[in-house]
Amino acid sequence: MNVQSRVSYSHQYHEQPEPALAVPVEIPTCWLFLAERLILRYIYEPLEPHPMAAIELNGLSKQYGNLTAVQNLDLRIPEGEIFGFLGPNGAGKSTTINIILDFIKPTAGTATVLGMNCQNQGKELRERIGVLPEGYDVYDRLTGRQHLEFAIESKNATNDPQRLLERVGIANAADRKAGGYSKGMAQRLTLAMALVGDPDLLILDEPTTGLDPNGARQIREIIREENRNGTTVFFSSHILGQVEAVCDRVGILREGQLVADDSIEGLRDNVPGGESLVVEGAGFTDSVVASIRALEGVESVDERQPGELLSISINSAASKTAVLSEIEDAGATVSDFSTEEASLEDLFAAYTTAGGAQA
Amino acid sequence: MSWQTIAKKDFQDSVRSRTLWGIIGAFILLIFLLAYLATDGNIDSTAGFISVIGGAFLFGILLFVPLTGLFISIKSIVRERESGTINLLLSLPHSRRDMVIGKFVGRSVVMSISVVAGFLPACLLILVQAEVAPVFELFAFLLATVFLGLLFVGIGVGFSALVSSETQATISGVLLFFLLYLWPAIFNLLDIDLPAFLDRFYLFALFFDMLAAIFSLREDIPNASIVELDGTNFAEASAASAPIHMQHWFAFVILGALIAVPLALGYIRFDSADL
Repeated sequence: MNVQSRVSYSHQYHEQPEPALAVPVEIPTCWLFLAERLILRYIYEPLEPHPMAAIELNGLSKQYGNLTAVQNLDLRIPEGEIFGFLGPNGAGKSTTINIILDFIKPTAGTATVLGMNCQNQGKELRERIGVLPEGYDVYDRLTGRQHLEFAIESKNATNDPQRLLERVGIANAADRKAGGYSKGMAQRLTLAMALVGDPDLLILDEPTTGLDPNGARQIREIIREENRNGTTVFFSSHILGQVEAVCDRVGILREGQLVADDSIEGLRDNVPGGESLVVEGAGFTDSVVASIRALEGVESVDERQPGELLSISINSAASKTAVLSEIEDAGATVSDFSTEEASLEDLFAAYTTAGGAQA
Repeated sequence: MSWQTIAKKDFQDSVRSRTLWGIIGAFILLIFLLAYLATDGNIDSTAGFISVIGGAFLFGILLFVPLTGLFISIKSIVRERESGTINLLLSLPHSRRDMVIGKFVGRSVVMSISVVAGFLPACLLILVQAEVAPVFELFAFLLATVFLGLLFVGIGVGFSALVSSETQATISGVLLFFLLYLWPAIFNLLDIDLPAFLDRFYLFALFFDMLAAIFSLREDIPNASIVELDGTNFAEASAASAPIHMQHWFAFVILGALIAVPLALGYIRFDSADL
């Protein structure tokens, strides 16, 4: 994939749009225009397609009767990126992925993968991607090796089943029937199937489900390795901690809508209440708490130990000194204080609960 | 070829079904027993042989073939949908059409092997007992039975693509099992007289027409469907030529349609369904 050459081509083209035709006879302009269109359509474009997005969703919607699973979703994931697709269960992550895989039909909008339409070029595009779908089951009566042989034959690939099974850590179960595998082993087997044929794009729906922390770490390691070899990775999770470690960018889905599309740092910056002031002392009565709440920039006050320990959620408009002096003015004593950054869970909750942040 | 890969995988998967081997085992014993009882005399002529072997095969055709055919096919697609194995299959570069064709081919191979396995011991018994070895006739019976089996597999896979739950599949399987044999009786009961051509769709007529078409390769029998003849007596049939759609070989065209139409309808529904 030489993105550079494509960029330079389109650059040149825009600067010199006139075709260099040195013909002594006068040719009507419309003919020239037609010739140019034809050359572009049949010669240049097939040779040099536009720089592609690995995944591009435009106004994607899926409606089940009155229920909206995905609503007007726009998303573009450039080639080479590791993208984390986040959201609580039921937010529409799997619906989106299932539309990309043509398991379900969208009500409106389009989904494109590597320049191919998901609804009518599905077979062609699936030759170039590896998938770990949600809600799958393995073939109980086939062995792990047979599963991989099936995937290899389906993709006309030349992988060695044994090496793939070693890579995901279940080589010793290669000749056992997959019906006897644990959830984690089935997950590893499916990941191995996704890696068959060196895909340009990996789509992983909740890849760490059913795995212990060590297994989840191994999966993240494989994701990084694949990405180093040029594979774009799109994976979904309902746990922010899982994606934070590997993602270049995350998108957060809530009730079928994309509420954030940014790097983790960018997300932190955009969330109000990104910081908490934790105050320890005595005499934190209800009236003291009420006067703190009234201060500018204070978003909420959590009484961790009533009367003794408060956690005050503040945004950038707040002054910590003003908060502390207000507490003392109100008659309470402060023995100690500290600041806490919002945890990833708080951040995630801020984006995924009603009334939360809108990036 | 995509469907070939699916057919191969599907064959590997379904021949490991213990229930399937249980059904085949039970029928091997039953058909063998019937063949033993039916041949417990002398077989000295081809005509006599046909009536004897027909009796032994009748049971198999009535029960073994539809039961096995529907059992291995009616859930072939919908079970993958309910369990989620379809998500693995369709994540690979296969279209839903590849899946329907691959399933039909894979299960057809399983069906053919089941029929041959189920009837082979009985056939051997008949061969040992007969004075004139009726190898060709036995082969013809087996072949026609295999074709009948493919009919059930085609209808079963078609319905499996059509329905959206295993419960619906089971219900349609049971209904198909009875209806495919009983529909002429229902028309009889209602006193509706069907045109002779429609009588050809009756599974027994279909079976004997295919048999007649295979027999006609070796023997000089009239080229007409059994529904045009007086019973099964080939010798007495009129030599007058029947129109093409009433000739015996046309049974294969009917068979093809009875397989293709349910498969196509099932595919159309399946192709537009959300999984």
